[in-house]
Amino acid sequence: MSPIDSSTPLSSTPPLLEVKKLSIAFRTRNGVLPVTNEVSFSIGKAERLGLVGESGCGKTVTGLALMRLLDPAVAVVTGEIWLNGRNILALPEREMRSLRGRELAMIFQEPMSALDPVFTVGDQISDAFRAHFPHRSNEAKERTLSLLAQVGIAAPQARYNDYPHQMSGGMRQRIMIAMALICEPQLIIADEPTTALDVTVQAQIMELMRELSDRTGTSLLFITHDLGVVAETCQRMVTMYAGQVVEDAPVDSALLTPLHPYTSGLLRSLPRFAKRREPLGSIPGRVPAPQDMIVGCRFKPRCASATVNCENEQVLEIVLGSQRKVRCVRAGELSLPGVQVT
Amino acid sequence: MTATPQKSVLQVADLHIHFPTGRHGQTVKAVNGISFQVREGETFGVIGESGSGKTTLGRALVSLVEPTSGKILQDGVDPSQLNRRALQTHRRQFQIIFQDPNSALNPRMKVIDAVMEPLVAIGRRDHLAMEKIALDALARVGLTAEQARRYPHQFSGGQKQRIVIARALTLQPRVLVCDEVVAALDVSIRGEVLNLFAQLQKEFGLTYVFITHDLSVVSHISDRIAVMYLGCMMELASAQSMAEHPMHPYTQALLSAEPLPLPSHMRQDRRIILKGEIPSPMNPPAGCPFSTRCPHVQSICETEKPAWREMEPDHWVACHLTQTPSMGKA
Repeated sequence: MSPIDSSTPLSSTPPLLEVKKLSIAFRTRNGVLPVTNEVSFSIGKAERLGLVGESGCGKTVTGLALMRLLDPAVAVVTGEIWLNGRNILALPEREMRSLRGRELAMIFQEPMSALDPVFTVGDQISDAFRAHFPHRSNEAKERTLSLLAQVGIAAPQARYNDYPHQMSGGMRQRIMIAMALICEPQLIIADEPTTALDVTVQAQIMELMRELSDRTGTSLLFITHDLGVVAETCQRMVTMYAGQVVEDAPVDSALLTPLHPYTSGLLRSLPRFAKRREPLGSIPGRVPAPQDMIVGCRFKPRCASATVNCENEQVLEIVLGSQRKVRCVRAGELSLPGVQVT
Repeated sequence: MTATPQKSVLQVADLHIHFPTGRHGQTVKAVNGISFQVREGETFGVIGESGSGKTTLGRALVSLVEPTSGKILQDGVDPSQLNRRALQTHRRQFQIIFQDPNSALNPRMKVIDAVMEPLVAIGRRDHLAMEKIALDALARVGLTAEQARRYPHQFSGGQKQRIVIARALTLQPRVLVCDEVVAALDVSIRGEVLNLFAQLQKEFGLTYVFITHDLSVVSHISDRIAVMYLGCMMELASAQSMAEHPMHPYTQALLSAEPLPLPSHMRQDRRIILKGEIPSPMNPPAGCPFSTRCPHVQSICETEKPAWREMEPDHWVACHLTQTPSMGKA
């Protein structure tokens, strides 16, 4: 297999969202600090994609860049983000505002800090609709009530006038989901939407998001560190490490036959797949800080399969078959363990 | 593991811990009547969601919170009966490690001084010997003498948690209560820290009470697992029988709710989705604490609190519906 240009599309139907070589850097006192490096991936219509990685890998900042929520005074964003045939990085802020909430919406990890404590939840949900459809604002309340019922809030009429502090964590996250859905966007970006929730409530929320996306055909970008959430929710998984995409594959293939040593290492670290009381796998070392990024493969210092070739310049993404991409010079020659069921 | 009865290092009998909230004389019933024993040398896992009382229980086990009623015996001794001086000596053997190493370490203290602090606190003054104990403890967790001269901010999260573990080891405890000690760590380093706990247990014969909300962690390292809900213990069993046949409907739902990183063809659709959320511990349900969400709820569950019964050897459950051992898989 020969390395192919990473911009080659993996499928023939045009994707809903196509991220091309998205690089983000922050201006700091000590100069410009690169955070992500040429991140590329795409999401099809009605597809659910999981963007996974550990803290500091650049997954959240990538999500914020898709919404254009990074302050241009601080962040330098280069590359292209194509949504429905338009490069949204090139849009004036005015047009971007009409897109946000309407075509793509975001759900944040901590609903308490994302909701305004001084407005009722009903007003906050319907506000988004009124902003985008001012001539239909008489429908706003009715739509909000129907959405509250859809996201599983009992007694929507009564709850409409509640303030966020009167609700539990799980209910607040349902409010966030209703808010994201009210304008029927084509893509919802959910950044760790269930991390702050208890596991039984997490199961409720994931079930809800899966069901809504199946029914409405909304695409989902799930940003998470939890491989279990991805396995149960998404069709495809994009793994990031130190600001780069290292693997892009259908979820089942990524779990069974990971092609990148980092993906494989993550899977082997899960207690679920070790025999009880036997030592767990782990990845030695730590993620490099943005200011000490090395030349060549960024995972090399922690990689058990590294060779001298891994030090060479930039490691490009390699396309394997029609469904998979991996950023590893030894792609295909390594046989790496995935999940093992004992 | 053997079936022979082992010595208990912690004995908890009908423990209640209530906190007054100030409004209308209400109380938060953080721990609401639980009884169990922790055996010497075992890893006793405590699992529960937020508000289940697991953290309060952990703090009570090392005498950081006083019971409202009921008893905790540490190695047969009731710490509330000891005078201050005797308590100080006694409690050295019962240490606790918290979730967030950032707030557990003083940023202005060098690592070596932080690790020596417990020794200073018990009144030791022989600096050289103390330093040696601290360096030994740090070496046990994989940190060098050179690293000991640095400040906490120069370490990663996993390393900071190692420092906190080293500090707990300096007093040579017999029991370590670990409250969500790996929750703040990334997956790739979590394994390392859990392996370290296992290795230290072998070396020092430590007893662990491992408190966590993470099912995969608790089932990996524990000998026995206790499931808590709303201040009560719902089920207590060996890790194996808990995994193979959980008896309490809450345990069954909890185990089924964990998202598994499995490819689609290996997954069974066995999820039990619970309705609603955990009720307020200020006003828990009259009968079974789980009755408001239980898929099998009966009228008796709403009025009468189920007894804590041993349904099989070493498998305890508090549920009206598990009347006989054969009904376990209801």
